[in-house]
Amino acid sequence: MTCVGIVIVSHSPLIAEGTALMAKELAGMNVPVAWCGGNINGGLGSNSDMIYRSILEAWSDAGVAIFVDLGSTEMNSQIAIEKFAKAKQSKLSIMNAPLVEGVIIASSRASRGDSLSEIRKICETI
Amino acid sequence: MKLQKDSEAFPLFSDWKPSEAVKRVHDAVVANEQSLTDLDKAIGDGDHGRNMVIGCEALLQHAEELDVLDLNAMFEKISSVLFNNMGGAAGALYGTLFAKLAFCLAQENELYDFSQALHRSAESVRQRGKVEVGNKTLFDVLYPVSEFIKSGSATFSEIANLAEGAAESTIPMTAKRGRASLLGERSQGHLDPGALSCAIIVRALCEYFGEKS
Repeated sequence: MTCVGIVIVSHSPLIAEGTALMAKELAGMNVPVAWCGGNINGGLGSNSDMIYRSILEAWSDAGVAIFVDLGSTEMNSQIAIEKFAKAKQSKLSIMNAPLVEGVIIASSRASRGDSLSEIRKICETI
Repeated sequence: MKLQKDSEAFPLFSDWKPSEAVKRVHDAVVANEQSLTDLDKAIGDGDHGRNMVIGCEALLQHAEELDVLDLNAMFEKISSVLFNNMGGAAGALYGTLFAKLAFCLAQENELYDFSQALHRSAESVRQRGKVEVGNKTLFDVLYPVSEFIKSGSATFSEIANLAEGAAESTIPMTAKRGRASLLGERSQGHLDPGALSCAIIVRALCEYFGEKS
């Protein structure tokens, strides 16, 4: 079973890492999880290059669900997605959900084999 | 405003250097860091001044490289430096602006219409930020400036004045995008820091190119 991957992007590296720890516990071994957060100087922020590398790290042929918090994490995630080939971009989706709650639900759904569009739908109901 | 691909012919002047333009922008942003920080503390998270300085410092480190690149490659370089070094919405939006400028110029042959490219780049900022004029963001300065330049009749000092007036016009606005939007109507009565930094950049560039024209 190829599970959807999960990328967690927060302004705060502490939030991103903490949420990723929960995701890994809930999702088990089959769900690739990656996180990034903060700017390159260690402060709060986000960076499209770090998000791009996190997407590569969590890459799955079933797709990757990307969770963000504030507006610029969404913009930088969009920029990161655009670095990928057009055919690959359709497998990448920014979730419209609160970060922590969304990741918790998506992790368990991904581990049982839900598709990216199923996960996207359930996330929108949170 | 037509210009040639070779950066030495942009925009119609022979003796300008990207490194000098970057230095002028850097110095203007550094001189205003505290006021940008104060404005952002009022309606945002207080990091805008620092963020803009970080972006300008990163560009300064690459300034000599910018001087030897073709225009489109120069804009591409500026874009990647801003994407990689500036956190926050400003890095994403300015990175997008310069990436689109590079893209537009790379599409054309020998002569470019810079004002068209700038206008299309402002449109890409609109899409990236999902932002409109009146949302109390840097777009409230960027868009009218790009329109004014496209009109073809603007002098550098008029462009700088228009930018500052446009920044002032954000004071009564209710923020619809960015951190300030969380404050709703409480964002009224404050100048938007992103709009101000955009006007500061425009003023610095206009003064530089005004001296070269």
